[in-house]
Amino acid sequence: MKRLINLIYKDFLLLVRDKAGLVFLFVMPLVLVLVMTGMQEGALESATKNSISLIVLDSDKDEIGLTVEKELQEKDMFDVKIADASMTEAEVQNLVRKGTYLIGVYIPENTTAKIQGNVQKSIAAAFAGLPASVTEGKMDTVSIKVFLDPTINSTFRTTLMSYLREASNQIENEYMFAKISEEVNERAMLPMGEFSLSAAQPVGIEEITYSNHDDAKANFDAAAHNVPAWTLFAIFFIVISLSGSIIKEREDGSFARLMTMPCPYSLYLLSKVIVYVAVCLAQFLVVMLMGKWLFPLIGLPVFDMHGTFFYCLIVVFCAALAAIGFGLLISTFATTHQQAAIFGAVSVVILSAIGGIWVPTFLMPKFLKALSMISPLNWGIEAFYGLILRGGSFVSVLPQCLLLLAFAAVCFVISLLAQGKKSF
Amino acid sequence: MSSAILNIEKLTKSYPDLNKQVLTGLCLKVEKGEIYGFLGPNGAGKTTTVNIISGLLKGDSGQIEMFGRPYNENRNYIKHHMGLVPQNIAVFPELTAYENLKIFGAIYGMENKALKSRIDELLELFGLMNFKNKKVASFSGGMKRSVNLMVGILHKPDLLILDEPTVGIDVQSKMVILENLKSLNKEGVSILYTSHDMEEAQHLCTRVGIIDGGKLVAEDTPSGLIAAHEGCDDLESVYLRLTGRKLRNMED
Repeated sequence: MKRLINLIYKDFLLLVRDKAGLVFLFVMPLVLVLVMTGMQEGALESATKNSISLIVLDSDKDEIGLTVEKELQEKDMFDVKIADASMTEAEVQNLVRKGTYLIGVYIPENTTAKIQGNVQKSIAAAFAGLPASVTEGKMDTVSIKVFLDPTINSTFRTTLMSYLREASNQIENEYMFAKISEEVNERAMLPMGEFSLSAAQPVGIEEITYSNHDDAKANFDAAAHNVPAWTLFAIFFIVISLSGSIIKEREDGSFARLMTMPCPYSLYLLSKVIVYVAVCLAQFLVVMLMGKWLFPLIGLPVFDMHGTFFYCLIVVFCAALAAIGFGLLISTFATTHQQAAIFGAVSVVILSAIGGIWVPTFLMPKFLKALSMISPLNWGIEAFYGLILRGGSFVSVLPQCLLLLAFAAVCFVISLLAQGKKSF
Repeated sequence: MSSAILNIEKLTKSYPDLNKQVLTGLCLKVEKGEIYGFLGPNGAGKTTTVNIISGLLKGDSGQIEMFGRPYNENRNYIKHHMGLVPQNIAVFPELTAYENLKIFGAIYGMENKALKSRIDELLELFGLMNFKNKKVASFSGGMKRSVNLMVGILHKPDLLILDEPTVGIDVQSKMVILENLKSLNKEGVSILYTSHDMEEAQHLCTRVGIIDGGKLVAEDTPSGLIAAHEGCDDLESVYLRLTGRKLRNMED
């Protein structure tokens, strides 16, 4: 025990005296979490909060025009400007071309009247017992024009088009039912009351997000992804520091000297494991505290673990063992510090990229999604999602934890076998 | 059971990757209380022998006994009673001299109080007391070598193995180290010492063995070896006669 304590003391001193290493271990993840959360939150906000400038030129000034104006103004996504009646279609188009507005909506004159006319023709023909083909070619063309800046992505386009269709369809349907009621009242013995689509009870669409959290606030936001994601990245980045420390001790002979002393290799490794697990837990705490206390102060979403702190610590512990095993494996096969640093950094960046650290896996194409399953960082982030977002119990994330532990065990066994072959 | 503190019988070691047989049946005996100079050119097998007896390498065949005990069955006992001073400065440069000694001493299982007093004793002896809280990385080459040596003798080993302990240091530092080795030997520490410095070996060692081609080619006291080789007036000329003047550039 005394030997182990002294080895831990040695590894601790070597770690804290390596100032550049400490910056690497603690400052890098903080900066990454801050920058990535800020960037992603900015992107998410731009998708939801009045960031898309939109100009509406309503030349209709009737029901359709007013409804579209109202509908768009009610959507948080758009910063709506109602154009002066004196403006022309070309001027609106020009404003979008210049980039003054990202979207321009032009509702031509008499749009409402044309829709009403079309409905009337269609209903009259139907009640006259004529086939639908009779009205073909006799209908007025009705179209609302939408001018789009090329930077508008497909999600915004789809959303906007769907708003406009919904608004115009509703009004068209209202007219249709009103006209049908009118016709029926004229012809039927029993008069039909006024029918209003808007007064009818719409089909309710209930949104249920699967989460066991009582507070039901577990949303996928930039903090919920980035805090655990970059903590895992930092945890796996210790492979550089760990393998570097092992190789340095091997190169300067202090490792060999320890092996000539009453110091088993297992004790040497255990000391490294304890020190680096402590580093990983500290990394998590630092990043987590930043997410909890600093994020709200600078306008970023709060990182909330919804009471799963201790389970998260267990996930961090499992990820730390996996990272330490990986670092040990690299140090076993790398012959120089440079080799270990390059291989360690590149492999962790690749594993993190395919593991859903940079971009969540649900945004990845199918083959990358499948590939992500082999990344230990993916197991880690899925375990965090399971606890923080889905409110799962620890049992529900046990498979991911076991995968991390199995990965660690495989790395340790290969390293020990290879080291055993090399000497003693 | 032999009375020798170190007894090596027919030790062989090859490196198949290099297609090289380094030790070809080495027999070597270090008696209790002697300073045994283990001399030889580069690639002769000195460091391989040191690595095998310090537990860093496995020999292919042969027998090793230390302190009268078979090596393989008594590794832990042997590690407690043996001290190694490797050729490299094998300490932690980012730790202070005191921290290095404290950590290595604790690994030998020394008790805190005894360890502290031994560290102070050694720091005083090697003139490093004023530098005990300085990082070893900031030390001169001689001071680093002294710390390297102190780690090897901290636990008062019965057998001290030194692999070229004075290489690359100034005369003053060399004198301090050699004087301390003599004092240690007087206190009863047996020493196995490898070196390329024949003059140093001639003055320090009570007996020398010259290894070449993986086995001993001569063994006696320095004066005995000189006397046995006509026309040689020092150990260096004996060494050159036995090992030849051809350049050796192969590290073993």
